[in-house]
Parts: sequence; structure tokens; C-alpha cells
Amino acid sequence: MDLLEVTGLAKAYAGVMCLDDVSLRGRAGSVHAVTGENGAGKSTLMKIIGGVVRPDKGSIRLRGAEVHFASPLDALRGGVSTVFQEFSLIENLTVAESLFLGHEPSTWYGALDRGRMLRAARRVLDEVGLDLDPRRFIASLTVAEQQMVEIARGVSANADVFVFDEPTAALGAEDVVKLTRLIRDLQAAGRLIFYISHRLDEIFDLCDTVTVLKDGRLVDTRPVAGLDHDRLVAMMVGRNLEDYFPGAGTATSQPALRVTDLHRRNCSSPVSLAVNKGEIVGLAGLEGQGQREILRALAGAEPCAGVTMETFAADGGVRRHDPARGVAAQVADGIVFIPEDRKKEGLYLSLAVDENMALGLYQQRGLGAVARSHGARVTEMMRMLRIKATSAAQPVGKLSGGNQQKVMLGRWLISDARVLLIEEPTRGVDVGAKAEIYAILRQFVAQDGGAILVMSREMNELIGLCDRILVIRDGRIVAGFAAREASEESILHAAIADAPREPERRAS
Amino acid sequence: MAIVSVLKGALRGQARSRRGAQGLAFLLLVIVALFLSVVSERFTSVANLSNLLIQMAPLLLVALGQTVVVLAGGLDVSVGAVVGLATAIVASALPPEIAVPLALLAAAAVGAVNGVLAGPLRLHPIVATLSTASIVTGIALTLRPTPGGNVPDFLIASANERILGLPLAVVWSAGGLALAWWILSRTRLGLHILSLGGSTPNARLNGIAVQRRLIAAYVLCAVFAAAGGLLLAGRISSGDAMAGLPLTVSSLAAVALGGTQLTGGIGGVLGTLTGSLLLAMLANGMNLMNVSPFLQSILNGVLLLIAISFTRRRQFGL
Amino acid sequence: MAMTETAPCVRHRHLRIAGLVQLCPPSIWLIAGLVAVSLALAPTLLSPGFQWVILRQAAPLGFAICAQLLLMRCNSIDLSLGGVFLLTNYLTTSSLLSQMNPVLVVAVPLLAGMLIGAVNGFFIAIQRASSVVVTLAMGTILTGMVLYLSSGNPPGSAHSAVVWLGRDRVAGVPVAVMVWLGAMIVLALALRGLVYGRMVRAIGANPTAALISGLPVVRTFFVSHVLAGLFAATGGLLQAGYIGMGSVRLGFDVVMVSIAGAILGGVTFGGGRRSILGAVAAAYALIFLINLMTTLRFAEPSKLIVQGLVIALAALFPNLSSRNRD
Repeated sequence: MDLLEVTGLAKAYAGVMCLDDVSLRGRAGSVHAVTGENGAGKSTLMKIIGGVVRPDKGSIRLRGAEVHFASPLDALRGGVSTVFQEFSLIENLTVAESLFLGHEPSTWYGALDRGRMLRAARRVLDEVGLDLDPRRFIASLTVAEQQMVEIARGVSANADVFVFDEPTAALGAEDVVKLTRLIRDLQAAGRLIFYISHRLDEIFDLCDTVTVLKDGRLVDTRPVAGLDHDRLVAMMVGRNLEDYFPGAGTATSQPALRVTDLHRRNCSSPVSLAVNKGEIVGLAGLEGQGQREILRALAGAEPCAGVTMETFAADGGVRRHDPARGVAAQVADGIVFIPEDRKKEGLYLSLAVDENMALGLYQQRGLGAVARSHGARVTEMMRMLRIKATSAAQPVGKLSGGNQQKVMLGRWLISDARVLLIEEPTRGVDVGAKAEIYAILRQFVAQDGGAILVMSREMNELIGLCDRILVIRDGRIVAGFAAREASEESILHAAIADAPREPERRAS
Repeated sequence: MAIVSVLKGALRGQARSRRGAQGLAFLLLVIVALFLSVVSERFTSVANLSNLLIQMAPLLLVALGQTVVVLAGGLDVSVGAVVGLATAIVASALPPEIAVPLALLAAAAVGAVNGVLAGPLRLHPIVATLSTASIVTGIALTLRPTPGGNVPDFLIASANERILGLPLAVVWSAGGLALAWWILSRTRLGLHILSLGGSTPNARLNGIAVQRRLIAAYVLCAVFAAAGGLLLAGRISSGDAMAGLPLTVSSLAAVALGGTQLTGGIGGVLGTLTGSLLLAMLANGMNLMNVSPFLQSILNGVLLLIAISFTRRRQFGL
Repeated sequence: MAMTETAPCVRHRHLRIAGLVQLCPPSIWLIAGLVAVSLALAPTLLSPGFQWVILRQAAPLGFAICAQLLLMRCNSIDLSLGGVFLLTNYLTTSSLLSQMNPVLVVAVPLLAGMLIGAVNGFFIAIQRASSVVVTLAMGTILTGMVLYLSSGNPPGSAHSAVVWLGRDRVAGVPVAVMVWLGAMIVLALALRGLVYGRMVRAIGANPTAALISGLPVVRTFFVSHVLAGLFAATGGLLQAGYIGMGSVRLGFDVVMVSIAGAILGGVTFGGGRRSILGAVAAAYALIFLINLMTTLRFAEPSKLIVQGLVIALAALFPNLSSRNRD
């Protein structure tokens, strides 16, 4: 018997359909993947089921009875718990307060029962296998811990249907193991789990059924057992996995960037690395091992206690750079940084595409300089990067994730950057645009000897995109592979071997 | 050096909590108190200290309300106007048993308007409360064009008299402080207000009735301000539409000095108490030393500048 | 695909109506309303003579609004404008400068304004303190300072050079109006054509991204505050010249009215379009409004109420179309 049945759901935003006549059935005891390119409507579908968004048309039946959720809290009371992709945690609350926000235990006269809340929080954290003091503030947790609290919050509810919206995006390998175990437990208890993900491996490992959406419409729902990677990708995009990554092999043996003894604050071990001309080097590792900090320190976006950083021009001239002088100085030297969270840290969503791109040029001039429009260069760059926008004057906030990422790249390509430092080059980007972005990056290094240092949580992305992969553990480089010889297993092995913090085993 | 860095940490509120950087105000309070007790022997007299507490009471009540709104991520620059309105209403010809509740109700209405403008209608809180401040002052001036009127005796008594040596104003202050503390840390509304200040969109995702809570915060603030107004009316024994206006600035100063972050979510009532005490002590001390009131306002400004240059934020601007 | 072809039409029609209303900043609509009311109730206000007076009175306010606008667009605010007005008034009317050369009489207050802006800028841009608190404190300090220096009594009368700026006409046009409009044209061109303008827009749109991508955030903030100080001082100077004598109560309303004016001009915190034109219109509209109310014998309290309503309505104006986006 179907636990949840969704019929004919439709939702339009400002006149644009983003979900059209989608129907779906979920069994109790099933882990049901929902996948598709970004913008396919999977998040909207789950937001409707989770009560965040109300549908324009269609109905949801839970245990055979039609339901209308007015809010996530309402959905929770009705038996649907959602773990959001964007964090719904609030930094100034404690873990315990976060777990019960919106449905706090109260005393007989209506006040907050802090004692009961704390005890209940301890119990929930214990169930999830999370060793945290519930009185700690969210702001003091790592990203992975925050995501685990988010998951604990969702799981602690006594719900029948659980929705996980890309839960592993911020998790390291050990927490993924915990999450997997949690999902298995829920499944064994006869719950229905919707699992939204682009990550094919996870779908094959974890799920029994998969629903594919494309352009807001249902493609198909099938058992995972009858599918393989290529067939699933074909359902999503109608293209094969092979033409996903561009060819490598543009690397030369001349150095482009050399970093010697990077000392970061509060970190004893210095890091040295080099990137050759035409080369893309990837930083791999478990969550929170210092990859992100190394990249940001080189970009000047985070404090750096001392480093010798040199770049080599085409004619062999050496230039020294000091990241401690800040981002602006590094940008002026052609060393640019592309952050992971482009909406928050990268783009000016209310400004036009052309203005976002031209800022890279403007910022290298004085405040009193005349700002030329650079219309022709921007148009040329938009054409080259195949940015899909109604015009150069369209606000960036209206573009899809992939096109936004291209605008970010375009801003630095147009200002003749020499070295790109990229955090998660394709987060929240759909499969089609991913391939285009990979090609752009490869073309950048191939053309006139640029260099790219990239960090990604997705190991297959690093393997496909990079020439060389450096594995970071505990703030140090512990291994280096040529990408074509690397496998996910070998990287993971290097990333956790002799790891000081073995994932804790708990009897559950 | 270690001591310096520990001290800096304490001043900047790096302790992992949401109480904010209260260290500085406390430190300044101690220094000012020590200085004044050395310079003026009258400062430490019981009469003067209780005077100080009496003088502080209206400011404290207004600042406590301001704390609630600031913690919710808002800002209320209409508190001074509301104080003026409250004094104008209680000094009117109405009998006190009607005038006092009416003053509180009128304030609640102003707070509700502020909340609706800043919440559902999405105006910037400074803009929203600036416009109501203007309107409320206009109304208060219509009610009482010039200072005067008759303030009920019990308000005059509660602002000036003592029971067993304890000024009644202190009882008001303590009551207000306890109430504000209880609301913020022991009720669901308080937790929701803090979560609003932390992140309004996320609070909404968690099913908090964001707009209603924000309106409630502004209503609380205005009611606290009105209570401060009642006490002020008692102290000056008259209604004065303009009497409260300086309290807008000083309530913000007390909140900021107390380490509450103006972006919301971080801070608390104890910091506000320290901030208010500090401001009251400075005024009191300078009066004792016959410092020109104009110099006092210069000093208050300088102090505020020093205080905030210790709190380093990530954010620029507002 | 069929569905996406029909749906946008609905959206467009809605956007067209809202867009038409929002084509102009709210100040333009306010002027239209004021002209209509004047035609009906006080047609003398529309005579050229009266209009020149309104424009001349609007010049000081126009500078204050402009100062506020620059800051609001990069997510800051200046609550010390009133203090700067007061200080420039004091400087130009006290005996301090009365014996000096006219250039100095004008230059010293302007420099003082820039200095105050620089101090604000230091705390706000470099120390990253909250601009609300910094400028509130600065306003308190300046007011206290002027009151202390003048012992609460108005100083003498304004220097003749300042009076010329504030009151005289050249070729029939008041000098103050020429200074004002000239400065606004320069500022509008600068915001449109210089890198500075782009930085203000970008920082207003996303301050975090501005920091991470290495835009000169600190410098832009600092420059904006210094410029705001300069504009405020210019406004104060014109005001002092217009009144012709010292005053210690002047400038209390300047902060309020400047924020109202910036909002009327179509500025929001962190954004705004056609804002200089809007700000000029806003200064004119606000002074027009005050004169209209005086002509119609509004009492002081009623003026305050109308002023508050105007701020609230103007601020609600940009939300007209964006409301159903939420």
C-alpha cells in the first residue's frame, strides 16, 4: 500500500512553470531517490511535500487521506519531516533549542521547559550517534556537525515520511556513513524516505526506487535494480557520461605557480605545492581537513601567517605575491578566487550580468577612474561561455545555477586572471552546464598557460577534471596522484589512512 | 601579553554564547565608579546612589524594550516619541484609572503599527519607526502643546518616594528587568524573538510565525517605553511631548554599550542594565562635579565611540 | 513549452502597471499631487516668485538628502548630519572666522564637514562599527560641542560671503540653486561614469561578495562618508547664509527629513535607481509640502504627522510590485 501519493502537482513561479503535472507514489519501507538536473523541479516537489511551498494544482494523500500543509511545522505534525538543503539552523541558538524550535516543550503555565528540552535533546543526539553537548551554540559547530544536527532534527520527529534534500553536500565520508546507517534504520522501521540527490553513486548505494524529473515534468519512476549509471544519466539529460569531462593532458612541465611554506594561523604544519602551466590541480580530502582554508589563504580571503608565493610569466619572469595583503592585491596580480557559495559570497544578484562581469575590470582601477562599459568584451565573453540570459542587462539572480557560475568565471576571465583558485566549481550546477564548465576550465589552462587550483568534495569530479590530485589531511598534503591513475578508493585511502580521528563506532 | 589577549577576548564577546560583549561596559562601570568615589565623597553617599537609581529608572525601562526589538533584529527610534505620548496621556484630564491603561494601550498600538510596517510591509526598521516617531510626536503635541498638566499622585510618588529606604523607582526597574529577562529566556516568545534575530528566513522555515513574533517584539518595546514614560511623567510631574526624545538616543546607547549586537540575536538584558547604569552614573557624576550638560553630551558620545570600536564585526555599515 | 508561452503575458501585464508607477521615484508623484492640491487651494504657491523661494529653501535640504543617499546606497546611514549643519552654522556665524578672507570662511566649514565624515568613516569602514551608533554618537558630540562653545546662545550673524551664497541671485537665479543643481549634476555623472559609482552599487547589492572578491570596500565606505560630510557641510553653509544669522536649534530635523527625502527619491538601503534626480525632486517636494502646509495654516503637530505619513508611504512605494514575488 502506498504511504504517500502525489497526483498532478503543478507549481508556477511568476508565470513560469517549474512543476507540471507530476505524480509520484512512495511505499513504506522504501528509500526513494528523486533526481534530475538542477531546475528540474525536484526541490520544488519536495518543498511542496514538506509544506514549505503550496502547490497551484494537484493533491497529496498521506495514508490515503488528502492533506494540505500550511507550513513545515504543519507538515511535521502531519507526519512529514524535511531535512533542508540550505541550512535552516540559526547560529545564535543552542543545539537543544535548534532541535525543538517551533515545537518547544512548555510547562503547565506556558513557559519554556528548558530542563525537559535539554534531556530530550540528549536523547535525540544519542540516537543519531552525534557526540555533542546540546548546550553548545550552533555558531561554534563545524559545517558537517551543523548538517548532522539538521539531520538529527528531521529524524527526531516521529514522522512517517522523511525528506532529505541533498543531505551529503556538506558531509565528510565519516558522517556519510552515519547518515547511511540512520536512513537504513528508518527504512527498517517502515518509514518512507525521499532522497534528493545528483550523486549517482549515492542513488545506487542507498535507494531502491528512483524518480527522474526533467524541466518540471516527470520522466519516469523505476526500480534502481534495473538501471546503471549511463542509463540513469541518459534519463536525466539524454546524453552519455563519456562526454562529461573534457580530455586532460594540456599540462606542461614549466611551473606557473609555486607556493612554499604556507603558514596558516593556528596550524603548525606548513604547506608547499606547485601548479604547472596548463595544469589543473585538485585538493581532495575529508571534510574540514584544511583544503578550504589553504585555498582561501592563498586567495588572501583568510589570514595567512607567511608564505613564499611565486608565479611565472610566459617569458620566464618570476613575480612574488603576498596573500597577507588581501584579496584585492591578489586580484591585481591575476590570482583570483571563486567561492563555493556564489549567491552569498560571489555574485551581486540584483545587478545585471554585464555589471557583474565588468566588476573584475573596474576593481583594478582607482575609485576616481572612468568606468567604461566594456559592452563588446562582455558580449564576446557571454557568447564564448554560452551564458543563457535574455540580455546582458538581465539581473544575475534570475539566471540558473550553471549560468551564474559561468558569470563568476567570466568576471575573472575577462580581467585576464592568470591563476584561478576555485572552491567547488560545480556546486548546484546541473549536469549539462557542468560539462560546459569543465570545458571552459580546461580551455583556460590550455590556452596561454594559466593554472587552476581547485577544491571539491566530489572525488569523481576531481578525477575527471584535474591533471593531478593532492590529498589533504590535518592541514598537510599527505599524498599526490596523477589524476588518471587515481581512483576514488585510492584517494579515500590516503585521506583516512592513519587518520587521527577514526569514525566512531556506536552500537545502535 | 596573555592577559591582554584574554581581556580583548572578553571585551569582544568571543565567549561562545549569545550574551554579547558585556565586558567593556562592566569594566567602564567599575572604572567610572572608582573614579567618582575618589573624586567626590558625595558620590558614594546613600542618598546620591539612590538618586542615581531613580534617575536611571525611565532610561532602563525604555532600554529594556529597545533590547527586545534589537534582539529580534529590529530597531526602534520611536521609543522617545512613545515616552512623550505616555506622559501627555497621563497628564491629561482623564482619571488615572483610565489614563494609565490608555497610555499603555496607545503604546501597544504604536508598537503594533511599527511591527506591521517593519514586518509584513517590509520597511526598514529605521524608516518605519522614524515615520511613526514623527506621527506620534505630532499626536502627543496635539494633546499637550506645552509641558504641563496634572500627573496622578501615585505616579509622582512611585517616581520619587521610598519604602523602607528603598526608592520605589528601583522596584519598577527590578520588576521591568525581571520581566524582560523572563520573557527573553524563559518563554517560547523569547526564544522565537532570538531566532528571528539570528536568521529570519530560517526561523520561518522552522515554522515560527515570523511576522507575529516581530510585531510582538515591537509591541513589547513600546509598552516598556510607555512604562518608562509613566515613570518619567511622575518624576517631572508634568506631561511633555518632547521630554522623551533624548531617550531614543540614550536607549540605543545603553543597548549598544551593553554589548548587544545591533544586527540582532546576540545580547541580553543584563548588558542593557550595565549600559544604563553606566550612562546614569556618568550623568550623575558630572552633575556632582558641576560639569556643563553640554560637555556631558560630548562625553557620552565619545564614550559610545570608544565602546563600539571594541566590538569588531564582520559586517559593514548599519 | 506551450505553458511558458502563455504564462509570461500575465506577468508582463502586472509588471507593466507596477512598472509605470515605479518609472519615476515617489518624489515625482508627490510633486504631482502637491501641484494639484495647490491649484485647488493655494494657487499663489505656483507663481514663479514663490517657486524660486521654494527652490532656494530646498538647496540646503537637497545637499543633506544627497549625503544620506550616498550612504544608504552602500548600506550605511548618517545620523550626524544635523550636527554637521549645526557646526557649520556655528563656524560661519561665530566671531571665529568673521575677520577672515571669504574663501577661508567657506572652505573651513567644508573642511570641517569632511573631517567629521572622515572620523565617521574611520569608525565605520576601518573599525567596522555600526554606522547607526557611530553617527548617533557623532551627532551627540557635535551638538554638545556647539552648545558648549556658544554657551547655549546664538552667535552673531553670518559672514557676507555666506549670505551671498545663501540669498543672492545671479541673472535672476539664486546662487544657492545654482550651486545645488551644479553639484547634483556632477554627482550624478560621477555615480554613473566613475568606478566609484559601480563600487557603491556592488557593495550595496552584496557586501559579503564585495569583500570576498576584493572590491575596495573600506575605501568606498570611507570616501562615501567623507563626501557625505562635505555635502552636509555645504548644506549647512547654504542654510546659514539663507537664515543670515546663527542658531543653535537648527538642524534637529535635518536627519529625519534627509532620510525621508532619500526614500522619496527612490533610494532603499543597498540600492536605488535614478536616485539623484529623485533626490533633487524630493528636496523640492518636501519644501513645497512644508510651504503648502504653512499656507493652509497647519499647526506644528499636524506637520509632524503629515511628515511621518509621507515617509511611510514613500517607503511603502517600492514594495508595490515586489510584494507578490515573496
